[in-house]
Amino acid sequence: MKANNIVADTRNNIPENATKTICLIQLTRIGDILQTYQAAEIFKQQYPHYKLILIARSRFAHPLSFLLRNVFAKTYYLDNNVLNIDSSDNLVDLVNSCKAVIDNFKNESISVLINLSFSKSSGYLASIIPAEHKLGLVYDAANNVVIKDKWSQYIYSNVMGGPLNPFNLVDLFKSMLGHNLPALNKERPTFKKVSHILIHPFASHDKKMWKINKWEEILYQLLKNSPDITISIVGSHDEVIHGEGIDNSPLLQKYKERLHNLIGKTSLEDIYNLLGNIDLFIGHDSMVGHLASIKNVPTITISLGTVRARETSPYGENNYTITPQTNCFPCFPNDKCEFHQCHFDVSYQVLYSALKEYIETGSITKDYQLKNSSCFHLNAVAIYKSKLSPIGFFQLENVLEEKCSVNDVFSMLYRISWQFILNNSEEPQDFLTLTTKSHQILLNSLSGLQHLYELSDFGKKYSRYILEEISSSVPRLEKIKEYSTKIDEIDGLTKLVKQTHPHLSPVIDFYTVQKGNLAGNNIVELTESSFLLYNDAINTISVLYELIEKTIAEHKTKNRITDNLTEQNY
Amino acid sequence: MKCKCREEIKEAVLKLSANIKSNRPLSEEELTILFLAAFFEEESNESK
Repeated sequence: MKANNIVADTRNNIPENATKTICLIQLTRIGDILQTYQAAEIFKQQYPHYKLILIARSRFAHPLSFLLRNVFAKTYYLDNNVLNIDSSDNLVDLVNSCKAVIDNFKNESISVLINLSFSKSSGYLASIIPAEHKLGLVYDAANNVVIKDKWSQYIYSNVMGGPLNPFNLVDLFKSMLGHNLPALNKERPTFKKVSHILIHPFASHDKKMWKINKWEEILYQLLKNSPDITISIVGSHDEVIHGEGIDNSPLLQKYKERLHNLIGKTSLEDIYNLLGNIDLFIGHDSMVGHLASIKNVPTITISLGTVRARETSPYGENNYTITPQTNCFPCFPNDKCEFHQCHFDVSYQVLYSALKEYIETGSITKDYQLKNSSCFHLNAVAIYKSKLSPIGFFQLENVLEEKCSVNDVFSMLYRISWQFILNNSEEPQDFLTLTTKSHQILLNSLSGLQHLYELSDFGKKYSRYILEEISSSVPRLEKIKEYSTKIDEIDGLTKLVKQTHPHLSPVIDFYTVQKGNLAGNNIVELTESSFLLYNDAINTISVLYELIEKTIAEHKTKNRITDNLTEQNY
Repeated sequence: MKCKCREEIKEAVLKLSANIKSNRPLSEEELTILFLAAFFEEESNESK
C-alpha cells in the first residue's frame, strides 16, 4: 500500500540528519483534532525523527495548543483573520492573501501531506499545497474527488456510515500514518478508591446527550450514597444555562459542598490539568472523554443518537461505553427525531448501577449488573469494555451479553477481514456466540456473498476481455463498448445486492469508492486496475465467506454440545 | 467578510462551475477560490 510504503520503507534508508516533514490537515472539530493528536502521538513515539506539522481551524485547535505542541513541531491555525477575509477589498486581494498563507506551507517542503478531515475545504486545501505524496481526499484539476490510498478509501466509504465499522478513528488515522503502528503503551495504575469524579454531561448535538434532569438524578444518587466522593462538572460557556439547572436543583442543595459546578469557568487546558486529580470521568461522546483518555483517566461514556461507539469512544484500555439497543441507533445527523427513544432506553438506573460497581471494584461485570439492575433496564442497553488487541487496535467487548447482536457479529467479522486485506495482519479473535437472529442473518448473507463473488468474477472476466480486445491486431471499438456496458451492468447489480443484503454494505461501498479511484491514465491502465480491483474484491468476499461459514459451524457445534448436556441433565 | 467580497466569491464559484462542466482543468488560483468558498461556508455553518 502506497501510504504504508512512504512511512515504513524509508525508516532505515534516510540519513540520520535528514528531517522529513509530514503535514496533517484536520479542519474538523475538537474531538477529531484530539483523535488526530492521539494517532500522531503514536506515530511520533515510533518515528521521532519525522517532523509533524498540523493545519487546523483556529476555533478548534487554539484551545488545544497546550497539548498540540507536545507532538507537532508547528500548528498552522486557519480562520477568517488569517485569510484576511475582513480586510480584503476584492476577490483578487483575498486570493493573494490566501496564496501568501499557502506559501508558508510551501516553505515547509512537505514530504507527505495527509488530509484527515474529508471535508470540502480540506480537500481543496490538500490539492493546493505542494507535497511529494498526498494521502486522503484531494480534488484533481477536473474538480473530482480523488482518494488513492486504501485506508482513506475505507474511511470515506465506511466511517459515519452504518453501524458496522469496527475501527476507532485513532486507529484509522494511525493506519493512514504508518503500517502496523503499535498502540501507545500507557499502563494504568492499579485501581484505587474513587474519590473525585469529573462529569461532562454535554455533547455537540442534542441527539447525543441526555436532558440535564437525568444527570441531576445521577448526581443525587452518587452524592447521597457515596459520602466520600467529590464531583466536578465541566462544560463550555454555551452550556452554563444547563448548569443553572444543577445549581438550582432542590435535590442537590444538601450536597453542594461536594459538587463543584465549573461549567463555563474552565479552559480545555484547565480541564486537562484537573484530570490529573480525577479518578473517573463520566460523560457523553465528546472531546472531554478524549482528553481523559489522553490523560489515561478511566472513562464511562454514554453513547446516544448519531454516535458510533466503536469509532469515537475514548481510546485506551478498560474504558466503558454504554449504548442503547434501540433499532434506529446509531442514526444519522440529518435524521429527524423528536422523541429520542435511545435517550429513554439508557436509563439513569443502568448508569448508576454501573457507576456503583465501578466505584466499589474498579470494573463493571455481568454478574453484578444482573443482580443489582432490573432486566427491564438492562435489556435495553449494551455495556462495552475497551481493550487493545494483540496488534494494538482498539476494541469494544460486550460485558453483559455472551450472545452477540447481528451488528456486533458483522462488525467483528469485518474487523478480521479488513485487517487481513488492508493491513496484511491477522488479528486473533475468539468465535462469537450467535443469537438465533444473528445466525439466520449470517446464513442469508452467504447467498449475498455468492452473488457478489459471481458479479466480481464477471467484472474480472469483462475487464480481461477489454484488455484482450485492445491488444488484438485490430481492436474493435464496438466490442470494447459492449464489454464496458457489461461492467456498468455488473456495478448496477452490485448495488441491488446492497439493498437486499444491507450487512454487506461495507464491502460494497469500499469497492465502489475504489472503483471511482482507479489508477491509470489511459484505457489500458484503467482496465488493468479494474481487473485487479475485482480480483481484490473476490479475495475480500472469500475471506468474509469463510469467516461466516466457520462462525456458523462453531455455532452449530456449540448448540449440539449444549443440546447433549441438556439431554444428559434430564 | 466584506459584502462585496462575498458576492465576488459567489460569482467566481458560479463561473467556475460552468468551466468545470466544459472539462477545462482548474488552475491553482481557481482551486484556491473553491477552497476559500468552502472554508467560509463551513466557518459560517460552525458559527450557527
